[in-house]
Amino acid sequence: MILGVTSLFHQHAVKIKRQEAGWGYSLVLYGGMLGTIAVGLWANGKESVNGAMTAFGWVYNFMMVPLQGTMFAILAFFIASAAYRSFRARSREAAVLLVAAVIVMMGRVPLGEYLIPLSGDVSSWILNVLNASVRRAILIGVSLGAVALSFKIIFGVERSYLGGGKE
Amino acid sequence: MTFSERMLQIDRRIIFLVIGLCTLLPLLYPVGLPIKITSEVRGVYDYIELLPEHSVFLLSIDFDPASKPELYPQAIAILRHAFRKKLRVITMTLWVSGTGMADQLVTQVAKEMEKEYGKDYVFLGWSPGGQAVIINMGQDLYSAFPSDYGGKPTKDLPVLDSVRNLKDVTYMVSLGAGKPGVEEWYVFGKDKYKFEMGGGCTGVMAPGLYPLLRSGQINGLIGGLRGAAEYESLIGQKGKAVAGMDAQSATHFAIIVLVIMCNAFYFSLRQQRR
Repeated sequence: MILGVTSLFHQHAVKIKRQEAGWGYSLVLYGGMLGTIAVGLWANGKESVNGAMTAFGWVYNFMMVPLQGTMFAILAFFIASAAYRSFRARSREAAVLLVAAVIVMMGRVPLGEYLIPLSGDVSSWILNVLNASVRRAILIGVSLGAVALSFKIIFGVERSYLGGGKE
Repeated sequence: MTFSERMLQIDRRIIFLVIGLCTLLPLLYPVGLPIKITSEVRGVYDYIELLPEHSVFLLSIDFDPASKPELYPQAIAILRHAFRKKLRVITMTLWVSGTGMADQLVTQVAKEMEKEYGKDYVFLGWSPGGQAVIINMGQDLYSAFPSDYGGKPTKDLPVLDSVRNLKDVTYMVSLGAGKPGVEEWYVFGKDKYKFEMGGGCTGVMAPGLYPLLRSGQINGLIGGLRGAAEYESLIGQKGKAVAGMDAQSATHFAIIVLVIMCNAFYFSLRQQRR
């Protein structure tokens, strides 16, 4: 944590000093971070004391909660825009993915199940059978890969993580 | 520039407007379409329903405000169910940024259900270590959490009477938005200390947890806002999740229509070029 905070402060201090593009945001970051640390220490890390909201609690409830919620909410807009621009059936594989996505999207909402009653069951089958088996295969593959790599590191076969080139 | 080309390069602000309206209008004018209950959500509900009174129920609220719209209604519905069944409810979080939110959530539902702190429920708060906290709780709950969120010693709390570690937990649900979450609770908790568990997660995470569900490693899965709406319907207390389902229906359909439109224009353009 100390390393992360130091690095963040250093990076933004350089930005402010050189007045690089967007240095005002770095100033906001400094203000926000120091302010939160100060009120956090003042309130001993508590959002409320005996039912009364502390300054730290105010920062948490009225700044952090809505800001994090907003960040997550705007994803829906960007996903819709990205889907319109790039979700095209350019190949057979992409077409299969597209059809599966449309079925699952329909089957996961009441309107889809209302218009096409079968979509819920088909969506459930896709998730429970196709999705689960493929995920399991990926999981087993990744785990076996991790075991193999671990053995290579333990027995000194894989040494690239230590740096340097080939002997 | 042909019509198809123009449509494929449509200003993204129009798409934003469509999504915005599809979210806003159903919230203002709800339709209230029926919600079908899936076996995944029923798994969690049925298990809690069958638990005898005063069984120890652990709810780990492993998310932060970013996932509040999907997981907060899940937590409210599960807590209402557990309190109604008169279970001994232990709540905690593995996400430091979710501590304040979790405290508010537990306090709000307990107040609504007229439950007494320390006797009927406890909020242990957050302890550093992620999955190490789960292992520590498995060995000795009081060394992982010597005091609760309010600073009271946990050993003196009647709700934790005869609870020494995770082996004494009857049922556990992790509502996770990432790591540590459902998977960590299974690997470091259930698998080692042999308690039954269910999971809840955001909609995008749900497909990734199906292998755990299908192999019986978790006995139920509440996925996203839809899962929360199903749980609200099961307990007969409709809340924010059911209210949000119309908006979700509309936005899903808007995206489906947009994808179909873009493919139609794409193929029309491809044919024109041939």
